[in-house]
Parts: sequence; C-alpha cells; structure tokens
Amino acid sequence: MGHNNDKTLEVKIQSTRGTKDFSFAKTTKVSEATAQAVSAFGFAQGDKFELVLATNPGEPLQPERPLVSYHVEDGTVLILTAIGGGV
Amino acid sequence: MAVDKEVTRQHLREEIALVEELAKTCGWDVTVDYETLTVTVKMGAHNGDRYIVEMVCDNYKEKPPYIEFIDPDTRARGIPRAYPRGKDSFFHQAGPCICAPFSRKAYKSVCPAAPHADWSFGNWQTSTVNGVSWVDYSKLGDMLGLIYTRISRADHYVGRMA
Repeated sequence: MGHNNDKTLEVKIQSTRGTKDFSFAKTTKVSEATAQAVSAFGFAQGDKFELVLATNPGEPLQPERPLVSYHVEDGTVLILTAIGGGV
Repeated sequence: MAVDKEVTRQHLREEIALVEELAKTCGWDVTVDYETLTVTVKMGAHNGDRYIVEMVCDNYKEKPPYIEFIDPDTRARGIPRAYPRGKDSFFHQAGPCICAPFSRKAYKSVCPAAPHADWSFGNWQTSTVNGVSWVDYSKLGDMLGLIYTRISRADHYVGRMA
C-alpha cells in the first residue's frame, strides 16, 4: 500500500494521444510538467505546447509558475494543448 | 493507389479512441461513419459559437482528410460563415479551408481556390512548413485538438469568418 506523499502531485494529463497519469514534485513548474508530458506522449520537443486546466481550457498556465500556484492537487485533470502554426 | 477501406477504418478506430477522453472533457460530440469513412465533430467556441467539423477520410492516411466546416444553422457546407476566424492564416479565407498540411482542402490540386499549389500529399505527415513539426498533428485527434484550441481561447478566436 502506498503512503500519502505530501511532496508530490498525482495528476492526469489528457492529450489528443490519450491520457496518462503523472507524478510531479510540488515544486514543479508548469514548463517542466509540460516538457515531461510532451515527451511522454511522443510529441516533438520543438513545438509549442501548453497546459490548461480541464476546468478552464481557454487559459493556458504560465510556464514559469509552479503547478501548485494554480491549486493543482491530487486528482486534478490537465490538458496538453498546442496551437500549431498559420501557414 | 487506393487505400483499402478496412485499413482506413482501423486508423479511424485507433485515432478516435485516443482522443475519446479529451473529447468528453471538452464537450465535443463525435460521430464516426465507418461506411463513408467520415468523422463529424460538433464543438463550441469559448463564447458559445457552435461549429461542425467534418473530416472525410477516404484513402487516409495516404492522403490527409478532407476537412470541411458545416454551418450549424443552415447545414451549408464550406461557406465562410461556417468557418472560425483567427488571428493568423490557419483558418484561411482562400477555399475557405484549414491551411495546414493535414487538410486536403488546402491543396490546390484538390480545391482550385485553395492556397497551396506548392504542397504534395507525399510528406503531409512529416512536413515542417512554417517551422512546425506537423507530425504532431498527423492523427485525427491532433487535428481536432488544434481546431478546438484555436476556438476555445479568447486570444486566438475572434468570431466567424463571415
């Protein structure tokens, strides 16, 4: 049986390529979580991806802020989003 | 050479399954017709504007899907009013179309009014035009996600094309 770990955040990240569970240190910044999610879902690292809260998909989380500053806690669902480019 | 319909069906099953949870979270209404190989998705913009996206996937993935917007009120196909308007050329007035390698309608060889005579289907999944790794948008869910991101954000969506 696992112990409740006050130092980590257990969250789900949904993307266009499925949903995965992630465990982040509470000090993790949005940018770090985004990079881990991009890698885990197999997307190219060079493109611009952003995380949004599932409860507020219209507002990307600011990369330099820690996840906890958005009240992200165990069970929070995030969405990995991208803009692509205008061609 | 035509793609076997059952091969295309398998791509549709797999790719739609990948985006199923996200679709539910975002409130998309997804319908797949495995006979006509057509995916139809109803989704809403951040201000409540409704959009219907149709993806016709014959010969997918040799060819990208033919993506069209359908007016939610009149069911007219491909008219400017059916399209979103953004701040760049992704939703392109020429066509009108989604201007991306994954959008068959953006190719002038398919649609004479389309913006791109310089694109060919051969590398639609691996193109890097505009410095974008379009391989990240080579599955149906990726394409839908891109459309939704652009209409769900007030900093990108400015209303209907007409």
